[in-house]
Amino acid sequence: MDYTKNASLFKAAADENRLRIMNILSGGEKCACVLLNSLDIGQSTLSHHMKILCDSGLVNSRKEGKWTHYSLNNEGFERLREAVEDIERIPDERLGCEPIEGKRTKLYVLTGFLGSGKTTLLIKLMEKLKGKKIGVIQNEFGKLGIDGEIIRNDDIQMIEINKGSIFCSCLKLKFVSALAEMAGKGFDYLFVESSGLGDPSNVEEILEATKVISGDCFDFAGAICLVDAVNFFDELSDLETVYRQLKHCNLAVITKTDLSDADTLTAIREKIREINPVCRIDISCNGNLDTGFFNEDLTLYSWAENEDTTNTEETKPKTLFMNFDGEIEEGTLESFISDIEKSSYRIKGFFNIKERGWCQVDVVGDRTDYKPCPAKERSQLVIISRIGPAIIKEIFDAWRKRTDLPMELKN
Amino acid sequence: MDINIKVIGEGCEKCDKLYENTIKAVEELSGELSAENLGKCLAAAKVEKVEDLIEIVKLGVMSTPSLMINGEIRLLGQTASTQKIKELIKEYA
Repeated sequence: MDYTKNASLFKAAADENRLRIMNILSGGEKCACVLLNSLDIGQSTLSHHMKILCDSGLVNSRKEGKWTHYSLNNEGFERLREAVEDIERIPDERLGCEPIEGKRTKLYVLTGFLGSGKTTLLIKLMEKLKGKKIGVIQNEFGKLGIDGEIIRNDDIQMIEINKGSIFCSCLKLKFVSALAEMAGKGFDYLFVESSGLGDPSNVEEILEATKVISGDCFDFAGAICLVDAVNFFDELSDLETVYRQLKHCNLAVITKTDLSDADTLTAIREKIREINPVCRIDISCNGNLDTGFFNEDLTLYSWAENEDTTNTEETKPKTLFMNFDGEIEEGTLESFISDIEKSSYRIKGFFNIKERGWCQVDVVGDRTDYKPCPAKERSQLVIISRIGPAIIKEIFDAWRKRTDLPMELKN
Repeated sequence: MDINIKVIGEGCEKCDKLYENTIKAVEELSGELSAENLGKCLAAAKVEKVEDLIEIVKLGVMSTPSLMINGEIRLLGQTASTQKIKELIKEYA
């Protein structure tokens, strides 16, 4: 759609007098004097209107002696008709798409428990794919969408879906909408980063539903599940989520291997094989990964069939948001975090730390990482509770114990 | 004259509430209108709960819970009181 041309056509038509003039001209070519007689306007006003109409291509002019004669320009009207069609099409644009020159978007779904390194991996993948058109659908449990801040970049188009898992009945439709929205845009790749608590057992169903709306725009390239070498065995015994994520993946990537040892890695590989007899297993060290899999067909490693997800409203864990203004002592923050980490699946955010400045805070299991980051408006932490709303009292108690600086806790 | 009522949505409190209120609305209306003999068409009113994702998307509904009466979307992405639903259904009676 040519926005400039269309807007100028509509602007030309958007005046009572000009509409009257065009109506008069529908009876055939008329002299300016006739137009002046029929309308209640002066000569200079008429000239003004006629100039706009001629410039837009809706009216032709022909000089004969002193007077100018005007007639409708059929081509101009055809263009106006097309412009109206362009506008009518706008609400439908997300419905139905023809793959551009038969090109479909390669869709990868990224899963893996909280803190396994999905966002880190995604950023690495996008660096490798520089120059390609990339879309991201990011799913966060907290309303804040903290990971979105880390990925945001001018070359990448991103949709965030927050407040739950995209596979859960409460957000499934939103996920399908987001997929449909991304469908017609001719992306080379679309990455869906699901929340760490996301159970993708029903991803096939979701892709089927998207097909109904957007036609065959996506080429499902595979589900990649990240396995945190350090916390895997603890997480496995905790929730069925990790089990499901592995069961339904085509490629399992063991991350943070630099923090683990050979025996543990062997044990992890065996466990993964137990859960998924067929998936490919790769290793990532220090956030680095061999991206050869981009050129392979990961879907060859498929095994599990579509089933209901364990993400439901009942099983949705409690997420809390902590806000803080000012600076905090590193020791205070560390102690506070260690007080509440056993009751949380995940804690992450940004904090203004005395003498260190602004840091991205990442807590997984019993390990906290601080990484310098650009300054924010205020310090914020997202806390995903392991114990439901009971963590609220724990958070307040732990905070009071360590400091009497004010802090705000929100739902 | 049959009235076809679809309650669209799955697995959330709001969806269950809408379904409950719709069933109640149909029952109450059947009672109220029988005096005017219109109760006949309401008795034939079918309330269907659509929970399958693909069916929902085929109906063109992108937000739940939603209420569809005779193919028209009357409530989108929200639930409503039994009273409000009665008023909506009455329009088709």
